[in-house]
Amino acid sequence: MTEAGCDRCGCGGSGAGPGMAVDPVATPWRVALLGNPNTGKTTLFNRLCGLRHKTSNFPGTTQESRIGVVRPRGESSSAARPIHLVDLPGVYSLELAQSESEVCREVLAGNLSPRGEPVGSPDAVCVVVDGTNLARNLLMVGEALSRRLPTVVAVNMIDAARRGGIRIDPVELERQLGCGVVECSARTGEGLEGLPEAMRTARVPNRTPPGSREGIESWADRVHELCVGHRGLADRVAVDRGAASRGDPDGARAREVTSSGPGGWRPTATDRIDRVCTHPLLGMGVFAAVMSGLLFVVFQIATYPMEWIDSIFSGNAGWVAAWQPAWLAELTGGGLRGLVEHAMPEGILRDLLSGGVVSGIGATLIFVPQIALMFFLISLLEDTGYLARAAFLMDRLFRPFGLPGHSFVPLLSSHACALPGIMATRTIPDRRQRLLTILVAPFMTCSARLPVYVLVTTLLFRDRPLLAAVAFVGCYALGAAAGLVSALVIGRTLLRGPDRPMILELPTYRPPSLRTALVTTWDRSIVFLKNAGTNILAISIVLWWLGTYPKVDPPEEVVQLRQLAAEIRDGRLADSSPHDSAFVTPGEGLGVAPFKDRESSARELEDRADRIESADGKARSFAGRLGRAMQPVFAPLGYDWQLTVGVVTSFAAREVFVSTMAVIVTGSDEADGEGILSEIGAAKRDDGSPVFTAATCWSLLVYYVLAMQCLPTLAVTARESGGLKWAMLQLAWMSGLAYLSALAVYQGLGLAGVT
Amino acid sequence: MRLSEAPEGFVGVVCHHDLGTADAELLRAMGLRPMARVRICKPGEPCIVQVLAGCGHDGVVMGASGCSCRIGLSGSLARRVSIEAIVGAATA
Repeated sequence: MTEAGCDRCGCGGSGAGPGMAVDPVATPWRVALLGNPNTGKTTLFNRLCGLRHKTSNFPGTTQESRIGVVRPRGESSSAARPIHLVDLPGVYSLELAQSESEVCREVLAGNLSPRGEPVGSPDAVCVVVDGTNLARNLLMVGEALSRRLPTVVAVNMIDAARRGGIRIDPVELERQLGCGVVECSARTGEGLEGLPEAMRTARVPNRTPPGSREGIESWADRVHELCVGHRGLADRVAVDRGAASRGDPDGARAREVTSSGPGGWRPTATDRIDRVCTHPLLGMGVFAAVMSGLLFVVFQIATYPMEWIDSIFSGNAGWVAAWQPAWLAELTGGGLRGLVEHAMPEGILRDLLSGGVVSGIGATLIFVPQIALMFFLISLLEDTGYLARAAFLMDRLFRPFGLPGHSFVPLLSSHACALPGIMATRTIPDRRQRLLTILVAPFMTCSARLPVYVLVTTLLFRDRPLLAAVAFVGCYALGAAAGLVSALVIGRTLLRGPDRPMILELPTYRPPSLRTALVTTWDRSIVFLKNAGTNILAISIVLWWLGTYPKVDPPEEVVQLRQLAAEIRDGRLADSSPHDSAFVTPGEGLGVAPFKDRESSARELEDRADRIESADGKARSFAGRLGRAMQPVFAPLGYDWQLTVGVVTSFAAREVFVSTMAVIVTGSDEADGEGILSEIGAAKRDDGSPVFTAATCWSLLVYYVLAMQCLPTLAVTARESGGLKWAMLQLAWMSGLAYLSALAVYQGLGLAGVT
Repeated sequence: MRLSEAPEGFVGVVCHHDLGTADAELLRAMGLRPMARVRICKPGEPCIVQVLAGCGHDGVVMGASGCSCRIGLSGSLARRVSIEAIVGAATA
């Protein structure tokens, strides 16, 4: 890392430290982006870097960082040197006792860098300030200047400030601060063309603000007084009317800022909207409508890309097949999995690729559409300013259970997948409340639970879709209730401590930025794929191995069926007529239905033999043996060995349950078809009684609502909570609660005569 | 007067508080500090205040004695912050 500012502070150094030769073109100029929350820092970063950035984190912390590349422009060597922009967490002060502030302090001191970046002080600091809210933002500028690093101040939202009648004198501001000042608007791009060069030519400020808090406040007051002026009220009204007639949202923001003089106050648009959105009753109505819309869009629209992904990996599905030409359908009939099986010779490697790797990648990617859509909508909502209000509404609901309103977004995200939900807890300032939220986030119904809910509610309420829908919604409610009650119990026992009251800046309502939402969605999705994808892939491979090995000889029934099929195909059986008694007899003895012609009859027998062999192989595999060994543990819940195998194999990933059951019962993992669901529903225990009774179904449903059947979530919990013990507590708590609840349901229904 | 008791539109300055250190420091960094001029946007739960840049206790311009942002506080916090009315300032 270069020594900061050596080429600007007059020491005569090269900017690379003593004795170091630096290629000015190859060595990036590292700039730390600092600022208060809600100053448009993220929008500015996205505008400068676009998708040329990576998401990282700071070692030893849970703080995320983005490092972006600002492409050089111009011909000079300084201009050709690329800028690496390090986006620091938004903080109100560098001196607060919060992890975000500590990260900023350490980065500026040169003690911490994002993972993969060289450690050392940044070459420059760019402080982003809100031009419509300069008074408070100057406090942060003062703290940054006192670090004595090359600094430039980007006065963002300058267009909104101008429209609101706020006049900032940039020359005077530059003189007072002793560093470069660039007026810009990240939303419109105004002034941004000069910002990269200002970062490269940033100098150590020639003025130093006082060191004490009171001193910086007085200094900021004086600078604000000297550099910022307001137009008269009459001017502002004229500006307001002009902005209103143009439907200008930034003008509206600025109007609200400037209508502040004594005697000049009137309720603004934000005030009026807040009266509704934070009202105890009306606010909940708005909240319910917004959340219903969000969840509807997520689960409705994401279905299409999920179906595409499923068809790519597993084979043609739904309407995708109808759009394909015949030759393509023929080629991709079995999806990537089919292609692998078609292209490779039989053997372990082929089985591993088709059954483990391709399935694992597909199992990861299939969740991306829901997660991406959820993040996109959350980002849009956040940008409007509504989510901060929703957090306060939820604070009222969550507070009795020991959770803060900040937990709302993480718990909402967990309805798509617990992994991004747990990562989103980084925004919760209090560590105790953050841990509580992490521990209960997996109770929220995630996408992976849905196949199990579909299977069991279909079995329970076949031909009664309304009741099935009620049961489905009940599962969501049970998960959320279990999460809240668990937070209450854990918060009053293991994580006792005072609740920190809610303090949150409520930004002015404004239209969201599509660009910011898209970049955020891209970031979140990539992080999900990196964190979860590798885990899910590894788990899929392990599950495939457990479910496939050891290889066993086919049972006698399979041998007989194949022999019979061969005899039919070879014509050794006299005739293919279904009425020929000499022919039908052997097939009937094995439960074979009458058939029409030789080839199709042989195929039918072979398919049946394959299914029986597959189910037998699964039952005698390591996973099957484990299921049988553990069956006594799950017997009180009403599960036979087949259900136990399903529960055990889905320990690492709950979505595996349905495909496992399909393989065990039918010998095929094509679990989407109605016929397969019927076959699973008709499964028999060893004594001939049905596997899925009403009591068993309810017990199973409750178990899957509450159980921690997701190894990647445990891994992320361990990482984000800073210790394996919290992940183990989560596993024990959720599994114990699921087991006891399912036991109570099964035994209770048994006592009530429901079987 | 406590912040939680002030009506909508009330303009005053922050006098004192009995908050814990962490909350007091955060509020101070957000601009809600002694002598900061505030307007009550919405009383109740949450209590929404706008911290104003401009005039101070006696109507004299004080520079950045505050800022122009909205802060939402839970009712329990608002009850622990005291404010005084600015003479001559309009309320709702």
